[in-house]
Amino acid sequence: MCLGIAGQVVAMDAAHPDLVSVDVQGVNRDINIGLLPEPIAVGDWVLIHLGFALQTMTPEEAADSVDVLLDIGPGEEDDVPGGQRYPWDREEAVATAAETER
Amino acid sequence: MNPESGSVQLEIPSKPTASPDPPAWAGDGATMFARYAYPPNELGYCGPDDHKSLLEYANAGMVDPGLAQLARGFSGAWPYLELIAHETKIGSPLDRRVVEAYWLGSSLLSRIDMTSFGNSLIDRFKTRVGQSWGYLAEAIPAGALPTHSFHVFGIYPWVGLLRGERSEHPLHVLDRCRIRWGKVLSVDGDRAEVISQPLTWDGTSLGLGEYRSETVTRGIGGIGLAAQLAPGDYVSLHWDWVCDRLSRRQLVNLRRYSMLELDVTNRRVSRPAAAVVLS
Repeated sequence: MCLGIAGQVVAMDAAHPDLVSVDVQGVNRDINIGLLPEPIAVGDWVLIHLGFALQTMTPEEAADSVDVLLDIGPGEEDDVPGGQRYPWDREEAVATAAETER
Repeated sequence: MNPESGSVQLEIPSKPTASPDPPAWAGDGATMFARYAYPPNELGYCGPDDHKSLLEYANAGMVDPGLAQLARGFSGAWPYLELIAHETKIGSPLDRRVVEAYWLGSSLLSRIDMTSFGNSLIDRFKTRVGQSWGYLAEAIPAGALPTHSFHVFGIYPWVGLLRGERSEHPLHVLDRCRIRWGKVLSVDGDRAEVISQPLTWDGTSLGLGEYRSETVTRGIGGIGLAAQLAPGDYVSLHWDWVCDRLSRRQLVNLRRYSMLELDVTNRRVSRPAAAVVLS
């Protein structure tokens, strides 16, 4: 669980609008939703990391993500061949990064 | 504390303090691992759902297969321990030298092959991080090392979230999730007052602010992670807990490797392309 994990909102906290209770694999935890851009409601699924909801999820996404890491970028997965090993050369790494970001 | 400015200062001691190096009570690596892993585990953030056992292990300094099994359940930390142990030809990921290198940083890290480190990241994260992989991969030639600090600043998404509207939340998480250092001012039961430097973010780079005092947890009902503390002791902090008392060498290493990771992070964040990815 050091990476992200899905949870379903089970209760809101009227006294603390940034806090909700979520069900994470059968365990209820209080988390902060202050980073979410839109309001959420009981029944919604969220991706949680270190006590914060980082994004909302569909039930299907939640079912698929037992233990995921957020893609903090806005795009799709890169297409570097899976067999490629680490580019230990800095210039090569930077070039790979630039290519990925295009 | 300076009564005129209200600021407090913490200086690296020029010679070993009262705690010898290594501390006689430090126990082995498994116990050390438990001391640092417990705080986020108690919060439900990392590792198996058995924080009470972890606290008891850390407090008692007891080592048995149950503790090793708990440690393997920390899916974030364990692969780094395996990598460090493998690369340094140390037999166990829970060897004290390995565990200390991961949590605090040490010269042991200089023996880790950069390509092996990179390949371990490919195996663990490449298919998960998508477009951000290029940004992540850059960290290694930039000088990153397989430490907890790297995992916090280089793997987790929180550095990228600093550019959002509510940067105080990501900053808070990064500050508490990293291993911090501080100096004990006073001890009162299960609480201690320490001075430490908070993490700062000025919109373009991360840094450390002025020393300020904070109250931290050193135990629950008398059961704590660190041995007896006294004013003047240097300690490591994880989330709101005192994890351990630090020797001078450990204090210097923690500060050195923390600053190294901040430098690597700032250089990556400052790149225009990275800013696009992180926005």
